[in-house]
Amino acid sequence: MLQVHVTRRNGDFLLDVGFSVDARQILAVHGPSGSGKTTLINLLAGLERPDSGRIVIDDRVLFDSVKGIDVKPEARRIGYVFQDCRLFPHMSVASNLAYGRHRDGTQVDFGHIVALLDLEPLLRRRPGSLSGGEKQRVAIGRALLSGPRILLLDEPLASIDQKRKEEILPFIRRLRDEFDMPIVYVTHAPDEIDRIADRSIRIESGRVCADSVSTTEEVPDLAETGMSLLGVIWAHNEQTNLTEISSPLGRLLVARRPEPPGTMVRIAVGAARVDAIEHTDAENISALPLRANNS
Amino acid sequence: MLTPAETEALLLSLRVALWCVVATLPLGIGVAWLLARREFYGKNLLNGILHLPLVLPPVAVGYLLLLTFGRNGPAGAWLYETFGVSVAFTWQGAVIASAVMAFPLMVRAIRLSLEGVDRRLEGAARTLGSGPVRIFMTITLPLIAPGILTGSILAFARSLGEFGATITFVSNIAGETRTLPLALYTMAQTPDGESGALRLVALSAALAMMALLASEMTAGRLRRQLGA
Repeated sequence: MLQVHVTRRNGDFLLDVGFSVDARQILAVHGPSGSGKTTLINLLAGLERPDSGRIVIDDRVLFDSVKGIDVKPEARRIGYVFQDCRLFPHMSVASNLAYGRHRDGTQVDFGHIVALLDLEPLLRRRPGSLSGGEKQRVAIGRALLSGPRILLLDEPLASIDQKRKEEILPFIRRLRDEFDMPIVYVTHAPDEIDRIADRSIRIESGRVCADSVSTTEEVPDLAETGMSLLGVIWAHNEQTNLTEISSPLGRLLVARRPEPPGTMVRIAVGAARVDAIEHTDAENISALPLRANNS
Repeated sequence: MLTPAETEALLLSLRVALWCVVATLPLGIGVAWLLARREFYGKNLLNGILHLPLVLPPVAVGYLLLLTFGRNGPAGAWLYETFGVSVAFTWQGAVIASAVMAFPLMVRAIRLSLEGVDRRLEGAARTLGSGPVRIFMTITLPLIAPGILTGSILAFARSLGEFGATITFVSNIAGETRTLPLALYTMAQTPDGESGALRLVALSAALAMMALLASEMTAGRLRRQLGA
């Protein structure tokens, strides 16, 4: 399972996102261009550094700003399929595929991946002579053969025509079924989400603004509750007997919950229970950065 | 076909030029990498000093080398006392002279090529588990191979043509420091030396032509290998 909460400021732009993905689950991340989708997966891969937050895969902490943990990208074991493939132009397809196989640990079977992605006819060719769809298949194979714990795909079908898309989508579905790992799939095409994602989150201006799980859930009565948010149980604090929940608006502290960390929960905040305070440095208080609107 | 003196000058020129390339290549790659990839205090100064041999009269460079590497110079005295080696008036000194003259050309070529490397490929290699050293050896170095080739050819050619710094630093000693240009100069100063001088001009031209053809062929093969 992948658990994430990261923030990163880039000039005026603030990315502040939290979510979790189970093994054998494809999470689609969508949203308008410039919303921070690629930044998000660069943060996961370690190619960019979050200002604050925590990234955990299963029990392994890859990044924790509080504890000062920042695992180097080469040690993260994250398979990253780039939008522009980034195949090494000076190597054959076979050498590209084998490039990440020097690491110890579980060796993914070369022949199996080649068969799965139908790469046999391409092995001796150079990346420069491949079509867009062929390049993407090689890039996916290369990432899988490095023995990753999760797979990140950044708009893998963006530069590919419809016919080639039909060629690759089934491969991605097969990955989910064959490999026991979470898959994060960045896209802006609604038809791709419908066809392959188990869940999707929408990012706008650096925030998660919709989660597809909510559509199948019963939404609490908003008039009664005042505010409804979707969040992920982040951690339990045994000392204070509080549970920390990561939400699109930031971290919230609530009375100790029974659910284990990583569980998706819906947070209902009663209108009468919200106080407006000026300072946010009080301990053990969840403060949301909201602005009152008197219309 | 060639007189013994001509053969001697030709072989000496080739030896000096080859050693010039071999000696400057590792340092050239290192300095080019520093200039292309790192920001540090005094970078512009280093860059300026490196380019001095391009703009100074070669004789001035040769004279500075003589002051530095001569038996009484700081580097020369140290070399003599530590290793018993003296480079002044030897062919090794000629290698130093042409290396200093050729270094900026080599660094420029490799630096340009480094700046053209798509760094996103290095990022991709990191996600595939490679540390900085493996990335340099397997991604960066092969991708800048054309620049290294160009830099080497430029340094080789510059060494073949080197005259001013060499004659000032290591003098014009037959069989030791009399390379083709120095032999040509000597011949041109000799009464009735015109035909000999012309033969040396032809020899120099033939050598330069072969070097250029060889580099074109290698460059073509490298380009195909890079899939361009």
